[in-house]
Amino acid sequence: MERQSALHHCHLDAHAQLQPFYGWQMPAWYTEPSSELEQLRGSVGISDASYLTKLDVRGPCSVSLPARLWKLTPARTLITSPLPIDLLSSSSVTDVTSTYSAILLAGPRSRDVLHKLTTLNVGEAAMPESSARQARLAHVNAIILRAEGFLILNTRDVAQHVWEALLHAGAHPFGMVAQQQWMGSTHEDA
Amino acid sequence: MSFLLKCPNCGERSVYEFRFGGEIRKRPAPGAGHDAFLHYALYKRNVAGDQWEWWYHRGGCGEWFKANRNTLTNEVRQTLLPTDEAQPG
Amino acid sequence: MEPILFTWNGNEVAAQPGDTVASALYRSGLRTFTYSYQHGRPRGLLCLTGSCPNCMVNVDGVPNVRGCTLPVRSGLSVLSQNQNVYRGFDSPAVKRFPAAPPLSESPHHYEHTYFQFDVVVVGGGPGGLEAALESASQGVQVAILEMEGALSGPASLAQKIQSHPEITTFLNCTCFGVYEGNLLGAVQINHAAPNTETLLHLRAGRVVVATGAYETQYLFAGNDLPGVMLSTAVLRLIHRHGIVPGKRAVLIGEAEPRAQFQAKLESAGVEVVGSVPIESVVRAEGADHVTGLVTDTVTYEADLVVMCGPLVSDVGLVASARGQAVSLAGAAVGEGITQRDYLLPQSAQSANAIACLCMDVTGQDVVETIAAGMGHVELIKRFTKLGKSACQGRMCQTAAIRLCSQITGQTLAQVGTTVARPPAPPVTLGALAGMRHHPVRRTPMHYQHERLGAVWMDMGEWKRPRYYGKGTPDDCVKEEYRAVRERAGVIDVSTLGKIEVKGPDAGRLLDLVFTHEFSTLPIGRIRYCVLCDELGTIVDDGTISRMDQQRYFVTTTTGNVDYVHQWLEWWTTAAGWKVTVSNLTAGLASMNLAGPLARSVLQKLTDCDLSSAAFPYMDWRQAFVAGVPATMMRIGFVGEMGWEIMVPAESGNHLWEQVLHAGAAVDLRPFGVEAQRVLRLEKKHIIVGVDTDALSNPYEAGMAWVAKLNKADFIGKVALSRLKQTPLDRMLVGFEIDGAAAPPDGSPVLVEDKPVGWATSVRYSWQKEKVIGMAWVTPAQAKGGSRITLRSDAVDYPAQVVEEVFYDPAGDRLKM
Repeated sequence: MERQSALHHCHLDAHAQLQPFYGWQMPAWYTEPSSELEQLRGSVGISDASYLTKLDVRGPCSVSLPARLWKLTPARTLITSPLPIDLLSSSSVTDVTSTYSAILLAGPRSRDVLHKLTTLNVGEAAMPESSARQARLAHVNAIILRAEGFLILNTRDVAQHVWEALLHAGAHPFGMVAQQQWMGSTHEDA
Repeated sequence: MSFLLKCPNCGERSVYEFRFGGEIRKRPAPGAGHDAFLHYALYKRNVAGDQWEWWYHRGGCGEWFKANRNTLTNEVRQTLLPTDEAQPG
Repeated sequence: MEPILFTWNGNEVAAQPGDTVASALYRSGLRTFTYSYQHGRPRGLLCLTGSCPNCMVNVDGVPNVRGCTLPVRSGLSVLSQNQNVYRGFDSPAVKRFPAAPPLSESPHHYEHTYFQFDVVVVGGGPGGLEAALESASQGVQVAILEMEGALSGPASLAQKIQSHPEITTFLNCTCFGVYEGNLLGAVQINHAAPNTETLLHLRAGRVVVATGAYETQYLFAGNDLPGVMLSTAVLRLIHRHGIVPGKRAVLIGEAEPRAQFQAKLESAGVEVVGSVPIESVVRAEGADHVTGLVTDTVTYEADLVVMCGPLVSDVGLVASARGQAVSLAGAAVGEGITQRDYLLPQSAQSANAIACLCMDVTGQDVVETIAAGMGHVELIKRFTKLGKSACQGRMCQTAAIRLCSQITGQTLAQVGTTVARPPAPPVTLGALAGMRHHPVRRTPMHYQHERLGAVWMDMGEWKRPRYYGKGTPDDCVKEEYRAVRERAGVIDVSTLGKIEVKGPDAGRLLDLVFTHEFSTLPIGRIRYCVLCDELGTIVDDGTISRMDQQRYFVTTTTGNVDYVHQWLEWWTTAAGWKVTVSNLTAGLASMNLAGPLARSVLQKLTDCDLSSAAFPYMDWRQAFVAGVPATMMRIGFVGEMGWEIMVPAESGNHLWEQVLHAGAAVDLRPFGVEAQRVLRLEKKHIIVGVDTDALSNPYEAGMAWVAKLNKADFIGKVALSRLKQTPLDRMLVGFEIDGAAAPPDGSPVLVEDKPVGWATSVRYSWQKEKVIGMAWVTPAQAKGGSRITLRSDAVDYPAQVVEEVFYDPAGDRLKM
């Protein structure tokens, strides 16, 4: 049976079309994929990315795509991937896939939304592509990863709270179809 | 109070992201006796000036580090991870 | 063009585009905008810059809005108010206006935003714009905060600013303070949307204060009459609003400013009948409006008296910032301002000269205060309240200082200025609070509980079911209780802390931090754990499971997981040990399935052998439960056979549903926190923080067995060794109340009318059919059978101490 994201109830409330993605029940769209993508490209949107596998590694490690490495501190690395992660490492590894929810915040007005929720400096120079920061967002702890937008990780228990705070700050939800198109197109541009 | 504290991992952040852990003191050896432990548990030097102290970045990396702060002006002179060299206390 | 229509005290008023509420009202003929705080004196427009309190009105239910700063909008409902004070009681001032209406609940929108800039320039006038451009030319990020709706200064300058990629401009944005670490607070008002305020937090590398200079008033008898205005106000009425505020004017001030101003006034068509220095003024005359000015030589008839008042550099922000990287620019630093010394006239000391408009402090009040020995401005302020209200000293302090200097012979510097403290100008509490979107923590089964009719309780930020169902709380809790004692129940315990501790030094760390030994705990076993501080005080309790050679699983109480996590991290860091501590609380769904029929229910969901022989009490096993990989811990808090089952959070819902389904045949019930409280109380299990406090040690709590003093070292060992030898001065005991009524938790315990302690937990026990509880008492009462009395709300509850555990003292039910 498919796994359910911590935001499942938010998706039900928004009458999302739920479908399996990567073994999880995810919203494929809320209204319609192309209008969601258009809104995202012109303004700002949020999308559930909780399906990502996440590993917390203390010590050296290396991975291959599609997994990505994020340096949180000199001693601590976070690894994310849409697929299960094949990790060769003698370091201490903790699977935190279930511990963290993930919300992708993307679009040209992303920073306007973040400015309402966090004191973290999210400017281009302060937070370049592929950087990772740990800070407070909407009064809870968050890990913010800069990639095709901002990937916001929170412990699962506050996922709904953060989703609601982002909606209140002006973001609109977009589903997996738009999400995959967005990720694909930003990779092409890179 | 709204000074900035430079976390060795995360950089300068508002002091409200941190938890103060007290002045750095050495725990007595296990056999040091009751009076030594009582003194350690209850007495602080309470320096009016530069002080080495523990801080925890609870709104960030979640690590403990040491800081040298002037208790009168809140000027933070130095912060370092305990794994760094030149360890005080 | 459509006229802009709004209402003033219910009557329709027409405004023109570009009008503020104040200018529109003035245009319609209003001259008395309010009556003063203490003496009920009529007040009219004075400054038109938002500095004085005279034009304060209630707009759409929001009080104390300065009409001169609010652009007028169609449909506004504007009400008069008496100064900046809402007076709900009878007074002469209130009688002059219709009875004040109750404050209405207007929709408000308060937002917070956070920014970082290399340079923040406060003030969008010429000085500020130049400073901004200069900084931006060095390639750094610059912000300009301007309190009005547009930048002022040469148009070309403003143009450059608007198009500059490095400069961000915030309009309608008033900075109210520079705080430690160059944190600026500012409020931005959206005039297009009613009652919308945004609080900005800006961190600046450097701050430039270019707030300019403001004009302040002179002090003389009748200075507060409507029709006596500052020159700035007159110019704004004429140039911004096309309103000429009088026909015959007298000017007061220094020679040069008067001459310049006279030319401007005459070109607007006003007849200037007199122009005098302040020293020669006796008084302004008139009842509700000025009719003339009396000087020491002649009386002028006039309907407008203009003060070309002293200019004060607006340095409040710098003063309150106390020496950080803050600099001044423009008129704020005194550029272009030359001030001559002047003398206030004799009438400045009269009861008819108003020194402080906000608090209605007269010149005579100030004189009497000085005569009483308080000849320093800080003392004058505190004794008379001068400068303490809305204008924060802008309209009153300069004159008060000068008056004091004249009377006492001190220099101005000796009289001093008051300490400037933020916030100035004042900020609404709503703006400081923001949208109040508080975090809510939900377990993975949250919506299951909703569906089952949970009545919620808050535990910190967590939501937990207190009980389920629509009946009375007592009935619902009783049903849940009976299910657990007689059949089976399941409770969501996902909120309890779950911390993984692993690494070569993991065992060593746990041995040091907890009172028991854990490095010798066999793999597969679980042990109760207690954490004490160096004084031997109980900080938290839970369980620790040995998962592997170098891996342990620690559970904590709901409220203490962060503290315990930080404590473990700190000891690891301080000792330099190799341990990884991970807080996995949110990632695991956890439920406790308990009751005499629990085994039969759970066995339907798993192939794991659940018999006591194969799976004894205090063991853990990992197996598939309802098709999901799970960890089962055979522990109990409620005194019945039971298992705590943990699965990854995303499978929690599925498992919960399956447990309910499997339990349907035996009428298994979900149970909440309240039922759990009763169940555990019957077993005399303590809840840290409820039955223990910040001073409780294990000996007095009846838990001497947790302190393993033969361990080489652990936190609190030395204190506990000493405590073991020390006679106790209080003890935690169980009790039964004689009668049927239950006093609340926390009720004091008395013996012969003297307090000996307090009850920590009190509940009705369906097992004993009596009210039971736990209480702290002095050792003299600790024996079974001792008589004690609980008291609450002047009602006595006689009771008896009970030594035995109330339910299944032998603990057989747990190990079935």
